[in-house]
Amino acid sequence: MLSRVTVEPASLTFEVGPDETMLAAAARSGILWPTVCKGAGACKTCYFLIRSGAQHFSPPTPREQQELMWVRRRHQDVPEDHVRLACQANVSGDVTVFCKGARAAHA
Amino acid sequence: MIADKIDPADMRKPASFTSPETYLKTDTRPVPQHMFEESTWDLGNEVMPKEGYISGEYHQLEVKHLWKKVWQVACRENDIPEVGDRIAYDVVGQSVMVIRTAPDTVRAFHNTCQHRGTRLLEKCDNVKHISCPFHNWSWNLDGSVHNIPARWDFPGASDADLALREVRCERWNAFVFINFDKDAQPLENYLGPDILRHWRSWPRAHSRKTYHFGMIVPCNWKLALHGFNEIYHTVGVHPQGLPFTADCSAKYDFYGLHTRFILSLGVPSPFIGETTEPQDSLDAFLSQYSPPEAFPNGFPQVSTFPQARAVLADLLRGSLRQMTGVDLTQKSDAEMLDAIGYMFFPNVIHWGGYALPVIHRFRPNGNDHRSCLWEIMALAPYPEGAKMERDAPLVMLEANERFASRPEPELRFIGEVLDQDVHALRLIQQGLESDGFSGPRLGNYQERNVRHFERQVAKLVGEG
Repeated sequence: MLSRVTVEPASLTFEVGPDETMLAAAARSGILWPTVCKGAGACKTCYFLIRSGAQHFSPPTPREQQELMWVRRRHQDVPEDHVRLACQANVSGDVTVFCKGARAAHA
Repeated sequence: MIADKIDPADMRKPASFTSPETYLKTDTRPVPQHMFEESTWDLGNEVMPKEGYISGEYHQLEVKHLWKKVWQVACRENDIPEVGDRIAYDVVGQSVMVIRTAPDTVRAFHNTCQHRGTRLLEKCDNVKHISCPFHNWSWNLDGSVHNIPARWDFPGASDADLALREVRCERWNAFVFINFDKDAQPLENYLGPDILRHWRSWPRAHSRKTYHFGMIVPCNWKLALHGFNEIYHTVGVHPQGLPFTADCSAKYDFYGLHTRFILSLGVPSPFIGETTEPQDSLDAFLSQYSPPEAFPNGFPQVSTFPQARAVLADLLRGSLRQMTGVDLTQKSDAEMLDAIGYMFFPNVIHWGGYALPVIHRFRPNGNDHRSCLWEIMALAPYPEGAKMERDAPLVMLEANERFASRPEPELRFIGEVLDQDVHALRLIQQGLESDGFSGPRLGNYQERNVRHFERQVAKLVGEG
């Protein structure tokens, strides 16, 4: 079953499968998403903030938790579990997220 | 060799990266001409030997042919502003006492008593005479004998025999350099005409050291130095900087033994250039380096990268003026904002310009080639004629202490970045010792300052 992801502030939408990461699904859908390590879970540049549907995300692995430490310090106004890495997170329901750098590839 | 000189721009991959020169051309003020100059060439792609980081014998060669031959920064003049002020500089088992003997005279002596070899000065203090705590021998500030209790008991020694042993000492830009080699060339020749010319843009004589931290890091001193002489590691170590750090298009130049890099800030890394707008760069920069309360109505709005750089440079001019009273209105955006790192061979990296006049200094930890003393200091300019307080003293951090957890306000915005560097440096020596690693494979362009440095060291060490 596919889930729908809405991305702010660029108002993009794409669909993600149950075994797909957000980053992979965004790339498949022609969306440029910030990344340097291309999904290795190392560069942390693909992080996003959850705006709604937090309950639909897979829980972060200990490795993702560790990588997220520095990002969370920059977003202390956001609940801790609302900061995630697109290359690690799976979703199983419709969600809205905030990722400043995400853009349509043709834009 | 001139024959090896090629167009350095060719080495930036891909060629579409925006070069620092492009940003310099859009500056709102005149930029010093030397920032456009290129002095770089292809040094090849050979895998480097790793012996210099793991071999005790190599360390001994460095002691003999490098540390005892080169000019090295012992202190700042404002570490010892008053007559009688003195400070110890220790390196590879040697200790030097640097002392102000007259208002405008600084001298250096081996930090050892000519009686039984006792160390004379532990760290720093102010004295009328230099004395030894063991048998109360004493000397005048110029190193000549002042008093020796029971002088009659040393009939075979003249006063000249018992005077302190002087070490070469010269000054430049309020740095006090020492050299153990009596026959060394003058400091100005050692630095070379290009370095002297470039630094006329950034006089540091009337600058105060506002902080000085030190830490023992478990890696060879050269590995720690390299960590601050290439920008490539931003992608792994400081990813939060990518939105405002043009990492892989930084410029690298060689000047004799010394090197320079120029890194444009306020513009994104080519790695994420496609997904970063000018406003994103500015927002990320200010989120990292300013307190949230500084912008109650949100960050300034920009629509181009030159505009983002100009706005950030103006903010820095304003905050520096507020902090120091110095008027930097005429200084270019690049001098206010960019990282302009000069490596004064062999062990100091000092940033030019005014963004963050930081000084890194590296030395072996005594004679342990597998650990080093890393120090970080920063200078703040003072208005002409204003009296400066004495420089901030060295504060040593514990081995596992985090910069970000320190109470000093100066570390509020850079503590995390420094902790990231330390984390990487803690891992490098361990991995490099592995039988599975034959030697560093340096990037042709982005790590050429490192390769250039290692060649200079190898040349000196090979002279034995």
